[in-house]
Amino acid sequence: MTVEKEIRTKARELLASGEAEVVIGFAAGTIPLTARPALVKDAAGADKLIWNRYCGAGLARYVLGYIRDRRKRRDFDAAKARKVAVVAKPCDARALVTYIQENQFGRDGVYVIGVNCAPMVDRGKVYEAVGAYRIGGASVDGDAVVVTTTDGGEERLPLADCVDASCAVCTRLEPPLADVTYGEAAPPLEGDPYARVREHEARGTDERWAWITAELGRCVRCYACRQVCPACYCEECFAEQRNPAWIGPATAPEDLVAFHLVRVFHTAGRCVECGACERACPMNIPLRVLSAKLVKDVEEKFGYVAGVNPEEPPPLATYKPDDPNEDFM
Amino acid sequence: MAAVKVKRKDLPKLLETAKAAGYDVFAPARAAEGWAFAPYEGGDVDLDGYLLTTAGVKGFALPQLEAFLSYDDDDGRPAPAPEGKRLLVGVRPCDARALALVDKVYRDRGFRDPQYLGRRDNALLVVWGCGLPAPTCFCTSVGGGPGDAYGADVMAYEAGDDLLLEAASSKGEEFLKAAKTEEASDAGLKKAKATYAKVAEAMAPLWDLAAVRPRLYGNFDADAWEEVASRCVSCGACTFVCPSCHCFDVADEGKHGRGRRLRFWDACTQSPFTLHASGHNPRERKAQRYRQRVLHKFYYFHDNWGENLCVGCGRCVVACPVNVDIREAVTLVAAGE
Amino acid sequence: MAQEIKNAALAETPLLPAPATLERVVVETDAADLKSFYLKFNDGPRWDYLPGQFAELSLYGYGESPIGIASSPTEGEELMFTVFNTEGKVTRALHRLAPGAAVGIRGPLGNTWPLPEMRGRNVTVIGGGFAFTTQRSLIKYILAHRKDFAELTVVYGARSPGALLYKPELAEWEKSPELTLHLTVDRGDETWSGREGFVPTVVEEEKLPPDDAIALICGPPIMIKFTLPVMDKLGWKPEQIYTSLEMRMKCGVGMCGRCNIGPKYVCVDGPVFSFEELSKLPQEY
Repeated sequence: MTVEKEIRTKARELLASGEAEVVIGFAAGTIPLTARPALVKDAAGADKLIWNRYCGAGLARYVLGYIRDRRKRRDFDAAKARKVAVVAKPCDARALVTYIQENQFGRDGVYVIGVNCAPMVDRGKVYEAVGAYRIGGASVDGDAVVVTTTDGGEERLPLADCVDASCAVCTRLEPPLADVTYGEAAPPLEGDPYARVREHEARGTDERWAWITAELGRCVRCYACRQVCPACYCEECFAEQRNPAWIGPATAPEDLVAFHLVRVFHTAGRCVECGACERACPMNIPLRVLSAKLVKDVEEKFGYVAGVNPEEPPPLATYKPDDPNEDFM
Repeated sequence: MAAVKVKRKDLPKLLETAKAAGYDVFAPARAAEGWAFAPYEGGDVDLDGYLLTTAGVKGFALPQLEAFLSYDDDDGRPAPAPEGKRLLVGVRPCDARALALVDKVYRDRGFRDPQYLGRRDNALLVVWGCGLPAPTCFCTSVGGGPGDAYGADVMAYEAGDDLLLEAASSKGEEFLKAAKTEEASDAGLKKAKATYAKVAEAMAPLWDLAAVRPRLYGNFDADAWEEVASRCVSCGACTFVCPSCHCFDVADEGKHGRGRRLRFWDACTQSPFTLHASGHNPRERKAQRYRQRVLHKFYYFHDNWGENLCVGCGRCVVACPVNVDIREAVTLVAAGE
Repeated sequence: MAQEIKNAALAETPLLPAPATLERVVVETDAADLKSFYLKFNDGPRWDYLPGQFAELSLYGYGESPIGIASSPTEGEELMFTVFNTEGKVTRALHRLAPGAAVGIRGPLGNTWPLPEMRGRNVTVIGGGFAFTTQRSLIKYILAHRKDFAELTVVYGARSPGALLYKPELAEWEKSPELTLHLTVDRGDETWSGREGFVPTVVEEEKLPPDDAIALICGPPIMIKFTLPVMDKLGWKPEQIYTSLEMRMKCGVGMCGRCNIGPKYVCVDGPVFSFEELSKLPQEY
């Protein structure tokens, strides 16, 4: 059976038996190179679920959102609540681990349909190469992405150039948490997962500042990055508080830098490297460089990788006598 | 209305003349986010591969951030009126239409916004018809078209090696008269417009808008809204790339009695948009917020101003990180009982 | 679409507050959570307005707050606003002000109580808690134009005697032959010898008649929720009953887009609406 068939079968089973009240997965998108998150609530709807190379969007946020919304309903009876099932790529499963660590819900509240992953196509990369509004149709053909352009032409792009920047360096291709796991694990990727970070680290202070202000200067404060980030689930974000106002509300250059740097620091030790932020940004800001830097620092300083072990306490919420910042106390 | 003809390769000359006459000229250029309007530095205007900029021209009339007044110890002073003429070449019909619609809100309710109107009065839009729309374009479904001149000052039609420029407003008329170039023939203009009409014909409308519109409002309580909004993450990507979204928030920023009152883009898709001081939020759920967005674009604005606010540019469809599709939303909700 | 703007300057610079000075502050309630602020424009006479309208009170460095005008245009040059301290940025700062402080005013904004409909008719004012502000303006206005209106009946209730606003006016109105005032509190105290009961109950007990009458009702949502069915039973029609809505507002002039209920913007098409109008709008407010 293909992974897609297995997902559909499992979803149908969970919904028909009532073990799950919703299955969160992917359905076909309305534009090329896109699969869209779908919340399926009845067994018949399981046939909508797909699995392909366009399933890059993060689904963990929908699990948390569903559980929170459900709790707020007046007729909610916790005793009668059934599981929330989700089709989880390794990064999705890692995010679920962080939710469990952070007491957002219990392990038994979710049914994880794990999928061993392969790098996902990022339509943004194809847009960069071809032009978002020149794409008539597109598909993956072996190791290429074939695009038919609106002027009747055809362009073939190497698949390797079209995969999400985070998928391209991902070393965690199996979900750390799952009730079932489908698909074959892709071979481990070669190359340095921190290549872009090292590029940034190699810059001197002035260069770094120039790069940060130039890239972040395009931000329009749409908050797409924050809304898709598994780690950003505060009901009220510091960036939008006016009383007190921690940072300015809009696109003054100093506020753009402050917003992104503070946000990324709030994800330190919690970022699961899914790349949703960078993919979501309508202004093509390379946000992952910032978060990858923090992931690298946390790994080096605390020996910790987020979202792998639900039992492990998060390092930045835990004190250990041999913590690296002796001068902090 | 005046209509002139220039060789496509002579467009730079026209733009240099405009610059000499005091215009700051902007043209589409490749940018990190795709395409964006950038200051024209001279030379050929290379629009090969260009259909739409990522964020349209809205920022020229309503910037993402502006300090509309400054205060110093309780003495408030409005920001000086915008100065400087601007010429934007390569604007698309959907963008021009959107601005003309937003004008109504900032001018026609009996209140006139001096900052917005000052920038609009100072801007001359040279609108370029679309020869090659994208599959996400649906302007013909909402009352527009690839050769539509609504909101344009000058309408540019490609005709082989030539560019035919027809005035579409008195501002455009003045500009073309001053340009002192060869007049375009009626026949040539007619032929050029016909090619755009053909492009429009190939863009079959997704719906009969007049029939669909009341059904959207009539189906206010339909479950379909929950379904179409189920994947929405309540960011503002759609709103901020949309050429006709124009809502804003206000905040004061200052220290020790001195500061500025700011106006900046806001999005009805986001939860704090309608949050009362009491904590009550009439649009607490994202399905309510998404419904507000669609109904504002397709019904409320039309109810107040007689035009569809969504201009069918498709930017929101491309920008949405999770593929919420407004075309689908309209179709699905209208199809309900 | 353009509505009658009574302040020409506002039409040209709609976001610019006019400078005014706080003349005096009156603490209205025992809990001091409501204060009335008497403001006078720095540059010349105040603008025209009518009962029902509101203004944006501006404090530089804090922001603005939309507040109903509680004074009547018949009362003189000062504008009076009664403000509840929500502990938000603006109202908290406002409540800390002393006479002499600078306050900006943008107005008049919004539509008015339906005076043309009310002329010659019986007027029934039903108010609860601190929503009574623009109703005070209306009552004062009617009393100053007494012959233009028929019977004037007022029902006003608050949680406790200490929470009643405008106590001097209430004392005056209780004695006046020009109107009938039914005052009530949810719970009295040792100083209270008046009526106890919720506003909807009082409306029912007094059997307020709908004949040739217009009602203006303002109060917490729960009060309105229970009063409307009572009025319906008494024969009142939705087109006879008007209310004033509150919404989150910023610009107050129909531009920023956030105060709409369906196609209507509360800051320009309201805040006064009849229940008949409201019944045609989405119930999302």
